[in-house]
Amino acid sequence: MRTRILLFVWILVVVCFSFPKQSCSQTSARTLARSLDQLIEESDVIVHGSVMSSKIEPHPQLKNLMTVVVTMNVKETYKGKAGKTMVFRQYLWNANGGKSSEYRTGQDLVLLLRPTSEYGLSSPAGLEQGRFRVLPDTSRHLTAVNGRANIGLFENLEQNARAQRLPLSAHLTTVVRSHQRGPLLLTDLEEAIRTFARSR
Amino acid sequence: MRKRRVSFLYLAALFAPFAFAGGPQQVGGPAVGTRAAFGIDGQAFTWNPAKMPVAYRLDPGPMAVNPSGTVVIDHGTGAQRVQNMFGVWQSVSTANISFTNAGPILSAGSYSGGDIQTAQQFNDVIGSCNKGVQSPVIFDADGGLISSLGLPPEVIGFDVPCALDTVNGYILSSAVVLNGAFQDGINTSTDYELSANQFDEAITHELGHFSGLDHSQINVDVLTNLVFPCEVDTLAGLPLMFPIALCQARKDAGLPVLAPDDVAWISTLYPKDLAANYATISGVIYFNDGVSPMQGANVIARQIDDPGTPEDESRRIAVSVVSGYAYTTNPGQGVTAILGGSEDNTNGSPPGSRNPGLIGYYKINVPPGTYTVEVEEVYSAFMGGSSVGPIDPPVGLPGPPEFWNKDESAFDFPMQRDMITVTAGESVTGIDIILDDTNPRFDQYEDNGNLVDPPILLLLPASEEFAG
Repeated sequence: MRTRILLFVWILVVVCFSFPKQSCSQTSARTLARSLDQLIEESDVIVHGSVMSSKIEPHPQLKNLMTVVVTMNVKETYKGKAGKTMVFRQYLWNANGGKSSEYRTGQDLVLLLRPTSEYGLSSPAGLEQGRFRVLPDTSRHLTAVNGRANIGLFENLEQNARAQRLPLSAHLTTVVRSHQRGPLLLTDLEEAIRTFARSR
Repeated sequence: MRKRRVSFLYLAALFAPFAFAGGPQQVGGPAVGTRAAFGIDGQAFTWNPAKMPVAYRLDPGPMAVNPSGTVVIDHGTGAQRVQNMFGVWQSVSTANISFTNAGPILSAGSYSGGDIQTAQQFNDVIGSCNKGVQSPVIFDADGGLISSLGLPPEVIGFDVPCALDTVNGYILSSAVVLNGAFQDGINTSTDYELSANQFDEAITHELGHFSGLDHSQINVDVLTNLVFPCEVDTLAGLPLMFPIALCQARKDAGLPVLAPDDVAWISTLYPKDLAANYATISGVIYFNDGVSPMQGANVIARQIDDPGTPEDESRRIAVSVVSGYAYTTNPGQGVTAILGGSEDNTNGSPPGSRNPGLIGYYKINVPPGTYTVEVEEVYSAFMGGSSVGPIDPPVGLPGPPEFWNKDESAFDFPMQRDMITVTAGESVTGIDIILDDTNPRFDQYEDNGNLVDPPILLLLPASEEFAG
């Protein structure tokens, strides 16, 4: 049984990592870079969880607009209120002809979600910037990286923290000063999020 | 166990791709099974060159309005700026693409003219775009529409691909949305501002997608050597179609809006006197067995530096493409992916060729000159909205990045390079690169797939346990 389960998981991993680009990747949006504290401020809910399902469908009222409905199993909530299961709907402007989205079943994500609009639509703060994939590194530590490779995430963060009289731990200060781009340890991202989310 | 298998099959079916590619955004695929062809096999979807100019229709409202309702950029000025942005692509002398403002956006559903302000109006106009009726350029003057759509205020603009002629391989309609809040003269923590040049270049990037171009990756080390403003040689070669905006406006650095890569690719998609102005370098990227082609590697042809000029031409003049850009990313298979209905992946996805000769193939049009050719991985964080080439997330390079040399082998030095001199109209083929140090594609340990424990355990986080 264990072998079969492992075989299944192995196939799943191979599929997840080797299958091609999704139909509805939000190619074709230029965004302005924001720092983490700005993304946090913009967010209504910040969670860490895994994607249970993602379904592409037309918006119930705006039927010419395609959306992805994402259901997440929430492991941790850093800001706002989210139950154990969270569902949100995001507009996909380039979903035509596609069958799936950037959200894939089983993905482990830290999501900084904006308030829901009057049409029931939401999206990550800063779009690709507020969506962190959580993956183990070679040392099996969990890391997080957003769609801009975390570039500029800590821009002016120390000064902004000082301005808001938010104490950064010595460890976080070191991380903020040294990190330029690429994956962050999940624990470091969590600490930064908690620090700034507390002040809201 | 049965339930788990069903879950897997469902997941596999979900992953049918839409196919974008480094270079062209959408590539045609052949008829497979009972499914009709998707455009022209292996050919990029473009606007019909016989029906130039491409007609867009413009939002009759102002381009930018500040929060107090004062018009900051009126319609006439906005229309001129949009025309100039299209003009950037149109002015490429080796590209047969042109655009015209066909007038205001046509009525559709609840939209009966005037400034598009509500999500319902946007929905109705996009509906007509989806039918191929019109290609609207929409001024979201205060960012309110983008907000109604649940999108963040950081979105400067976006392109909505609407309709394709899947018989002849043409783009029929597309839409572009411009967030005027970036031009309203207000710069606060919730209402961002860009210079006119920065804004126009961001929208010109979107118009590149509108024209059928995907993202390109050149001088990716701009991500590692973070300096602002960016170094000019680096910026000069950095495509406007680079996935993310990092640097100062190209115009502000005294550079043309389009980098050589942008010019080469718009010329490739819409060729005009191409042979008189460009040469072609092509080849295949192989794994280290020298036989198995590799899809998803970024290939760059760089002009060598001219020591007689102060500029570094090797940074400035470069053209790239992702290997296997014309090949499908989901050929399908009928072994585990048949559940019926939409969950049948037997035929794979419509876009992209099924010609195996294209799996690792690349072809780059370059201005005449002397070049080196190199291969690198697509930057690992370029996925989803910032993806480059057909495979998302990028696969990474199984070996180290390396240059082409005339004695290519799996054991050569990655930095060993030979130069390729090309003249206009010349086609240099067989510039194949065999990657070094890749894992064997096949070996004596090939088994039936049961020996999976070690790699699985390495991939899982320490805290994760299998249930059941």
